[in-house]
Amino acid sequence: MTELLGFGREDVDRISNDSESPDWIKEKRATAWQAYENLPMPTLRDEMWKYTDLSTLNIKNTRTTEASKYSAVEKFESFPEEAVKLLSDEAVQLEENGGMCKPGLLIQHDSQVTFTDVEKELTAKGVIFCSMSDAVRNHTDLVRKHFMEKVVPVGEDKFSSLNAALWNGGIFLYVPKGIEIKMPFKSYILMTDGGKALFHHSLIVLEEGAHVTYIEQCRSEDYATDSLNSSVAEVVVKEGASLDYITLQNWGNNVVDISTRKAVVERDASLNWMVGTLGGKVTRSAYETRLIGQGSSTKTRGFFLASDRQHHDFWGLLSHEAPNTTADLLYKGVLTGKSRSVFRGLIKISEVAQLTDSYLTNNNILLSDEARADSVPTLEINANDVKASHGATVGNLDKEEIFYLMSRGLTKSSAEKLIIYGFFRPVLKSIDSEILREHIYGFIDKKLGA
Amino acid sequence: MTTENGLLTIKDLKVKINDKEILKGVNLKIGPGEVHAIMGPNGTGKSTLAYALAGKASYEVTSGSVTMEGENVLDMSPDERARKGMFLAFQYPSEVPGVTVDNFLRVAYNTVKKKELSIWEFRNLLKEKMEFLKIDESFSGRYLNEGFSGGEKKRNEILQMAVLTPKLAILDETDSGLDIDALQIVAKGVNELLPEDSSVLVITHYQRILRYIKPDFVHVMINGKIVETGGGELAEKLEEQGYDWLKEKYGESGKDNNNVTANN
Amino acid sequence: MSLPTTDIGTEEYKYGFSDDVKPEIKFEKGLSRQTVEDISNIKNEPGWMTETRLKAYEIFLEKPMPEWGADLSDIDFDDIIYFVRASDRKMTNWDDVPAEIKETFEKLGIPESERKFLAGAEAQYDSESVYGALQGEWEKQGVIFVDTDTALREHEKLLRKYFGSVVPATDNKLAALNTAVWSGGSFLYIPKGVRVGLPLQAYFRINTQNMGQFERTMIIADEGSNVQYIEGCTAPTYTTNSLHSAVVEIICKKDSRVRYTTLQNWSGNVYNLVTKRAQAYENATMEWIDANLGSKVTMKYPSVYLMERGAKADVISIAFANTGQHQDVGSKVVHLAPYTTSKILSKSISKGKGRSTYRGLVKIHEGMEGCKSNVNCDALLLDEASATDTYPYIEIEDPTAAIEHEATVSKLSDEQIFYLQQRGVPEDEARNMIINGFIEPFTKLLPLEYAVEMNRLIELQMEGSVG
Repeated sequence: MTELLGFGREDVDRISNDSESPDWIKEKRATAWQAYENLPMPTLRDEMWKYTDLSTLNIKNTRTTEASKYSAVEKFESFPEEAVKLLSDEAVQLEENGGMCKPGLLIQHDSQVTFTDVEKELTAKGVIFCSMSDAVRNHTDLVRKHFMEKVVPVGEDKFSSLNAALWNGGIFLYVPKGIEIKMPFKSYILMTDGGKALFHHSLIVLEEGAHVTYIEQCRSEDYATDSLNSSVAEVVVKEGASLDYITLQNWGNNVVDISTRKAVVERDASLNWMVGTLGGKVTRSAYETRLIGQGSSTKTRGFFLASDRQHHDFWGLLSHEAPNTTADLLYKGVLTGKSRSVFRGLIKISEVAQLTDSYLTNNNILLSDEARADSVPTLEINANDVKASHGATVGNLDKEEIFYLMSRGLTKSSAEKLIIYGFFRPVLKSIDSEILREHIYGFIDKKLGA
Repeated sequence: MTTENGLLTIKDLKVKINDKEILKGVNLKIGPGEVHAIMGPNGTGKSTLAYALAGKASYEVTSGSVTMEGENVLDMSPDERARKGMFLAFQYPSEVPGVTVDNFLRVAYNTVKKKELSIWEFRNLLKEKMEFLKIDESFSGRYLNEGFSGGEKKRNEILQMAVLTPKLAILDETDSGLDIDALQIVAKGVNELLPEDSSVLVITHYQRILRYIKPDFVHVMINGKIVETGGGELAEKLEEQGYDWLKEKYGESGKDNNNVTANN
Repeated sequence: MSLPTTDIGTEEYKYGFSDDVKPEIKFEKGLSRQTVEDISNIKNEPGWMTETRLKAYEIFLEKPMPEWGADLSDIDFDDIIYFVRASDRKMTNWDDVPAEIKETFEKLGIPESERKFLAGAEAQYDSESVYGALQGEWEKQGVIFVDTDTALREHEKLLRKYFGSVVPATDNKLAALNTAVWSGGSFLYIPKGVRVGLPLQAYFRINTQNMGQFERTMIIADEGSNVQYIEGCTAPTYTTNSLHSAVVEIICKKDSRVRYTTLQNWSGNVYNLVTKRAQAYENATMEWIDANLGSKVTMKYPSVYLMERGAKADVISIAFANTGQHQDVGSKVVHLAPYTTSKILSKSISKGKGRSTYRGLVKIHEGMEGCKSNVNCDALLLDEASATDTYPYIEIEDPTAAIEHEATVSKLSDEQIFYLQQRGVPEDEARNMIINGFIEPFTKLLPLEYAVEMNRLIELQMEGSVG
């Protein structure tokens, strides 16, 4: 069997030197590389990878970019043309805000964060929003406590280990105690060529009672050769804090995306995930939330629209590890062309997590004969005073509804579009930003129109 | 007036739910065959009294006493109280899937009355009461309260009361959500299907039901206490003037009290 | 498992007694090629069956044990007795059955049920059938109801045509084992258009310690026929493990309807690992009615392959897992034809440290237009230490499919108990009432006698649960 990936120890060394990693990071990279080499590559025989065949991927020749390839960008306009194109809607927003990126904006070009703008008053209050590479050097104490420790420890699985060995981009967001910010922190990860391998690792820490929103968007055009994206995010939400974490993946059709985001949520804290997957060739995204503090809660709203030969594999874990915790996950998808989707969800309630409520729902609509949707919504319940339920549906568009709308003069395609919008609405309404919602609708339009 | 050896005697009853005191010293005596009504604004503890009398687990009695025919009710489990002759018509009866009305009620009847009626004997008894309450025959084979309309649930409660013929029937907001026809049927059931010496405690927000079930005594509860007692005319006064004059007289029931869903 | 005529002790599991029957033949423990050959020789089987067995034995050796599901690490295939013949002849009259064995079945109430409401009965004791009878009326109409060993002798052609066609030896390790060492089981053939009015029952009893029971059951329902088959099973309570590993193959031809009811009540030392599968052809209906109350571990997923248009699968099951038990059960339906429908209802109750698991698959293949599937799983947890899992796999390759899956987990509701108590019903009775209500969708499908017995068994399991 040929190897799926072509990375070697020399890549780890190069990145270690190239990014001026501190020694403790170099050590972590080495340990992670060792773990990566020791762990077997997942196959269809592994339960968690049962529906996603990695062996057919053509990403052996993808390469990490050199950290110093791009120089820092001061102004938006100074980005290379292909990057500016990907940021058109952000530019509009910037203009509307008088050129200000409040409260903070980071842009990562390939593996390198080249643009950073954070509101000064927030920095003064101790808020940190910077690239992960800067963070390990400049905020060592804050970072070291959490970075690859309890949330996504080194060696946990094959791909997160590879990420830990080769990471180069990613953001660090730190919000001190009691700080509330209404406007969202934003980041973009842009890829402007094929054949690349991106490994970025982010860390978000909210101290007690902090409340913020973070929006992360991945974008690229379609390129002829395949690329690999690996995102790992670690999230710590401390007592009484709340985080809205929005991820929108809109890669070109040549990107294989294998990403993991994990969070621990402490007492009375809450974490709301909003997950949108529109692009990518093969996407495997994992979202794991551990409710470790009494009274903590999490909500996930997710949607995807898969077309052509796209493959979307979603894994969501709601782990209740303390009493009085609540979780609610709703994941909705529409499939066209020869696309395939996998939904795997697990509500896990530990012995101590009495008085817990947990809900898991997956709804899929198949629009074409050749699309395929697999759904595995599971429960593992070890406490008895709980309410847990899951539901899954797979179906097609209601012919009656379409007929009704057509009888009112709509064309078939606009009737279908309208029904699909209605299908997505319960998920998309949780996005506050109108510009972002418009951007998503625009993209859905484009995809359905094709 | 009430006899010394009344059927039910409540003395200085104080009840907490989740560490919050809802009943703050209730005194009430009910004699055999008497009809009492407890009225009052929402959230003053009327339903709490009903549930505390029936013995709901999460209702913590912190002081006072409740006796029925001289026996201490507070020491009894809910089913012992029921067998003693106490019946509560629930405001929101639970749904019990898979358990049919007739089967359940036969078990209850045989337990309360210490009898061994067969399903056939019992069906005859049930049929008669159902006809009286204008309940369709198919009803007895349905699962207890599952998929019942609001009116059906209330009628089902009265049917159970008619079968179990308790010494004391507590009707918790039985009138709420009933149209006038259904209300009249329910009232007729209470008036005619209970034995002469059974007592009734009607808990209600409105005077409406009291037009059909004539109370001997009307009590007004505000802020966890009975503040006013009178005859049927008191209910009429409340109908005309509302509760505001009482709230003024005895103090607002308190903002925090309004937030308490006392019947949960 | 119907109404017993004698009361046997008061312990929770009332079928845990054993008999002192001296068997005609009893193998030494252990499994080898020789064991397989010996079984075949003793039964005087045709060569093709010996071949089939030996091939299956090779497959058994190659296949790994299932790594998912319940913990099977305690099973030692060399510590099992693979063949015990209790009686040298099979009887058609209970009076001819050896007294001790007859007594056992009387304790279990089989002859009485047979007299009352069955069209026929088969009774297997350890490896082979000791009694079998079918009412003359059905025999005249061409119904065949015999043990599978007899079928191999008397209906070889029919049996050979279908043996292993639904569950091949290659399916899984335990199906291979069964194919290699099978003995006993029921063979049922219903001719075209015959509708058997009363249920047929088979009863499986393990008596010997460390016994492995490997019955092989086959039902062929010819076009337009209709039959209801009920199986029950119990075993003595021993401190060592026994293994029950059956294979059941069912063919429902065009327009036929088969209802297969299982009341599994093995003792707490039995590993129950069973492969049950049916093929349903045009407009046929296959119903699995499956109750799992006993055993240490049960892994069983009755499945239906919907082969032709309009075929229908209905699976309804209950599981009761008490301390020391893991009921890992569920169902599998594969839609291989358009306009096929399936419905799965699973109810489980976990008590003490018991664990119940639903594991299921609904698969709709590409191009299979207009299929519908509805899956419902409800789990009830009675104690703090009780546990439950739900693993439904839904694989959909056709856009016209309509699939719904729902699962809920809840505890016994305090509100419900209080409500029933307020009507005078004592707490323990109120709990039983709610639980019997919970499984009512299941019990209502059983003949009345069995429904009553079912509720009683649940109540036995519930004893002492009010703390």
